[in-house]
Amino acid sequence: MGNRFGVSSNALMIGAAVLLLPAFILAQTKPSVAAKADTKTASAKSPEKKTWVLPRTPDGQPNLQGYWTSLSFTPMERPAKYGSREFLTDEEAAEIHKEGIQHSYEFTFNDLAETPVYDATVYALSAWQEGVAPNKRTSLVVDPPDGKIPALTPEAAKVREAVRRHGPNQDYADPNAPVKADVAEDLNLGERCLSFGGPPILPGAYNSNFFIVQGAGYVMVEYEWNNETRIIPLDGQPALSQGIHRWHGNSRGHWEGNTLVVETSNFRPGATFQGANPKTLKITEYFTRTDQNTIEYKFTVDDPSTWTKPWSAIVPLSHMDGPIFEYDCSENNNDAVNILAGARATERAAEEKAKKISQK
Amino acid sequence: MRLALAMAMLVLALGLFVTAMPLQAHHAFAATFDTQKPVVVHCTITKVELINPHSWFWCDEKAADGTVVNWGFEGGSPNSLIRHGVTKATIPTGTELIIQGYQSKAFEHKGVGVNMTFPDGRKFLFGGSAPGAEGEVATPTKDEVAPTTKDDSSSKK
Amino acid sequence: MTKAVLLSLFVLSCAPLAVQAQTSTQQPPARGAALAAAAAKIPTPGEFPAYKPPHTGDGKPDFNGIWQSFVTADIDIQDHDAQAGPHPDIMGAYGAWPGGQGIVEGGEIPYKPEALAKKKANAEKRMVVNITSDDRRHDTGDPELKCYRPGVPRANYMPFPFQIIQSTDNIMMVYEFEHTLRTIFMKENDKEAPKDPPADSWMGWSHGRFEGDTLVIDTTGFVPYTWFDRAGDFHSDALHVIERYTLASPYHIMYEATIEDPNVYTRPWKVSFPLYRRMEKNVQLVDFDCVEFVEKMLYGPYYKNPGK
Repeated sequence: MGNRFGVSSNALMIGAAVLLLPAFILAQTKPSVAAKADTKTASAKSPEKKTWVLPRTPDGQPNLQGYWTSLSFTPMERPAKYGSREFLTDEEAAEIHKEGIQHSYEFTFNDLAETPVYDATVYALSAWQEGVAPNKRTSLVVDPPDGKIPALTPEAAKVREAVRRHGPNQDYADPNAPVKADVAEDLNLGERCLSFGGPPILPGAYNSNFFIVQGAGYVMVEYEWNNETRIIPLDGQPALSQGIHRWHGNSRGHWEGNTLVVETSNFRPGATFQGANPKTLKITEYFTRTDQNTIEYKFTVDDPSTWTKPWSAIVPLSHMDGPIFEYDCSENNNDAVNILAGARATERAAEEKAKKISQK
Repeated sequence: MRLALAMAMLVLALGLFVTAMPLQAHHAFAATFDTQKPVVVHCTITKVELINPHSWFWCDEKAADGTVVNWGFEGGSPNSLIRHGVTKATIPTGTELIIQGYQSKAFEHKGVGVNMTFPDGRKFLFGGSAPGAEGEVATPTKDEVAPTTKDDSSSKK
Repeated sequence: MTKAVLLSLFVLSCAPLAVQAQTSTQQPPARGAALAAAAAKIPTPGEFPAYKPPHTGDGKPDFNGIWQSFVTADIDIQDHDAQAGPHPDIMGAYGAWPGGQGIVEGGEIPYKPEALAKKKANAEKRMVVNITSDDRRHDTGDPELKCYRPGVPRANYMPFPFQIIQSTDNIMMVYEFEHTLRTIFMKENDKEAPKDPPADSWMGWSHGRFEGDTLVIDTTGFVPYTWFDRAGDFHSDALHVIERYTLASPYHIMYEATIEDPNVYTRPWKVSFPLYRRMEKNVQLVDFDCVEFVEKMLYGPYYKNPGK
């Protein structure tokens, strides 16, 4: 298959993705009924035409297994310029995709003077190397229909404002600003290798990859980051123990037609999506395989103490080639040492400087 | 109250952003490496660690007087490299590299490897730009990664 | 009445008792014999009657479930007596370690002489934790203490459950201890899972196959940093483990692992023990993400006020 992109097989994958754009758009523009998105098994079959049949596991369940990426250039909330439009035109989608892969990882070595970071392309971590598929949606958020996350409750707004005024421990805008790193708890959960979040599944900058395996009444979702794994028991398993709280919450799943519906609650304090209330947060996820290379993944966030109403988003999951290698994290967390030691070195340097000044 | 606030801050930092990782990663680099201390090191590989959260490359730099200093440079997560066929054998010990980077704030001979090339100018591991932009994507074979007299006209396998 | 009559009466009165006594030592009636015989026989440790396990939808022995071992091999894979743990002045019986029989077939681990010295040095320094931002962090200290991934086969005899989720192409083993994960590639010629490990890892690179109803897993590509127990038993990056899992009853897997490492041992050696199906009505894995419990230990020296 000829393509206009270049010689790498990854380029071919992107090229293929773009050439398949019309088919992909078809899949995306099907109305996404929450529970009952059906497959593309057409009712009118002609002998020559190949129709995709939803594969099933040996025990008859829809087959969601394999390696999937959530990498996407689609913003969470709808940019104002799209107004009330849920979908982009073909041209807009192609433009956004093209721009995304040109600037997929903002910290390139073009910013050498400003940003002391490795070049992601060298490590095949740029989006175009990892395999990002175009998405025709204007935003991930699909409900409310304006594509915006609903307002916070007054209580949650107060907490957010206090945090904003207090400021994060690190100034993201200024690489040379002093960093507060007195103890490990001053670092974020990812830097401590404690948890990289989820549910829900979101697009990440890289390694935004998942492995789904199904067996005997359980569905396993492995996240590449730290190989964190959610095991979802299906219908018929005993009820949740209400006194158990987990980094990724505790999940139960069941099938509604060909859609896997997963309900998760019992989150740990300090480890909830967007800082929601672990006591009242409930996340419902819907996994529907819409073609060989796509799972339509929708999630609904419901926390009456944080948002004034529930809201939903659709994140496309696209098939990718594996494997997902072991992601050791704490075992070789040189960052934790280097950040803490770096803060100590900065303090020492400041102390010595102050001493010299006072000695003059 | 302060603890709850701190917790909330951490959680927000993690969860507010759709693509949470780049900003977190940016923070880590800014805290760890010193933009006032750029370095260029010409060295030979002594150890390659294909580890997470970041790979590390250990490299002996020989001074004019013959003393040898072992540097460590941080790179990216190796997981995508592995999907692209890179293995622990791809970068043998003894491979010569020129590494431009920034020293760590705390340790004299550790840094982040911003720009890594072979002495003949070829880029280390993967290079190029996104399809449609200038440049070609070249996947080095094992022979090409080790210093050879081959020219840089390989295409991806 | 004469003495004879009295004697006869006495004998007659004893007769029923005698008959009863006789009857109780006889075999029970034939109809319930087999049942009663079976009920009376307690299983012999180490022996399982022949068992045909259920199969998955694709015709393979079904290992799905939550499993746990109950040996104390994590402390020492060889025979060990109970001992005080660290800081008994504070920890008392909470911190003491139980004794137990070893799981090494033949009893002794066949160390090369220089390797045995290294094992002893490991044991002496098992609680010396010195975390640097390079691989010297692995020089001393039991990786379990640091909440690092336990390696193979240690993960199978930690005192924590693990869950097997089995599909046609992959068998996943998810351990409660620090959400350790093993992916067992089951597909032949899987282009996404090359035969040779692309890089080294804590849990190794595993390919599995079935031999009849036995799951055989072949694993290489280990980093040299894991230990087999708290007693300092160790390996190099040449470690090669071959495991055999056989369902021995609805509730048991008989497990054995052959360990081979020419850098450390004079010959291959084996460990074996049963795995038990967790049967609590509401059983599930919970989190034991111990990294949060070890941060002060690992990074304390770099804290703003170390020692405070």
